Amino acid sequence: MATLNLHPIRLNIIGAPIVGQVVEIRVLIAHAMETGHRLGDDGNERIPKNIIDSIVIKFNQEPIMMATLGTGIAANPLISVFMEVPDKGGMVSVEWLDDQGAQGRAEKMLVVV
Amino acid sequence: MKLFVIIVPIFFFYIANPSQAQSPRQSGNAFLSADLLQQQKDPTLNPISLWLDQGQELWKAQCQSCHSNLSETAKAVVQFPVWKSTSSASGKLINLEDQIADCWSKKNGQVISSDAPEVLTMSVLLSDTAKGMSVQIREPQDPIIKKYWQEQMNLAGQIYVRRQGRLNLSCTQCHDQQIGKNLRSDIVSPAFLTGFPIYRFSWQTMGNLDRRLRACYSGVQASVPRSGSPELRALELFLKKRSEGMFWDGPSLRR
Repeated sequence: MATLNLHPIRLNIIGAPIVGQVVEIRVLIAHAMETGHRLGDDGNERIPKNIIDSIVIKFNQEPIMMATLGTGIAANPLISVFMEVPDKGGMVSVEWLDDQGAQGRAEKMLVVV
Repeated sequence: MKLFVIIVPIFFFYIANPSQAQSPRQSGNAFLSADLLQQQKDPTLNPISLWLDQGQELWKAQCQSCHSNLSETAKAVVQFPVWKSTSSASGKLINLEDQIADCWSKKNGQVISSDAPEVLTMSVLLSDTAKGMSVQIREPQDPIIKKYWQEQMNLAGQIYVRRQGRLNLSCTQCHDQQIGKNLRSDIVSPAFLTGFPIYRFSWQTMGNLDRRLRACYSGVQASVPRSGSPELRALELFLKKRSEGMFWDGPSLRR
């Protein structure tokens, strides 16, 4: 990816935000997810491993999903979790951290109708 | 005389219905599975949307000051490759990515290749904006330039039907004669150029047409031309001329 923002991220809430109903939280992250097994263009040196190590999805700062990803996850991972809509709305946020220390976050308001 | 009366209406019927003479042309998207089409339509699932986000940022930072209108600029997507005259030689064919790289180099005073990620990102944004336009390759007006242009077109036509590589295959043997059949686990689609750049799942990233064509050369085990070589530009011109009048699909997903 280009120089301006190496890791664009999209956080979407799918479904009707009605109390008691289930909505899907979808996260799409731009990340190469280098496994550490591939060789570079010269055919000698391995490209160092760099994957998204940990990802946390929070609702009002309370973690609702924590995951440690492995090298089997493809590049530009798509992660989705289902959540029951609580009585009051709140802020859904996602944070991730990779092997080389890069990190990203995104947040979106869940407004209950 | 009676025979003449019968033949003439039949003749005019065929002239008036050119669609009957040629089979309908299908874009590569017509050969995607239902799952992939669904993923392509939904921006919350489609990884290309990440490139679009980035393209918007790049557009605002780098391009907007000169090219104020994005949808005007995107008309170039369906018109390239074009002939570019240079001062030293007769000139050469350039595609959209060459043009973006050239523009970028002039603006920032730093030469970048047409394979650079910034160029690809801009190309994705422009291609997405050009969705629904119809492909229009115009022949150059200048007779001298038109001669060079036609030479390139003929060269590409020859490459398209030439058997090559250890598999001894030409483009036309698969992409005209085996359409709809399986090639390993994938379905062979006709060679129409309406949806580039592509996000290919086996690459795990986006790639431009150069990369796709080089993968074809490597697939038939022929010697692979370097990225940006005149051979690939000529092929791009030929493929786009074949797709003339078809609707542009924008950046697409491929397996």
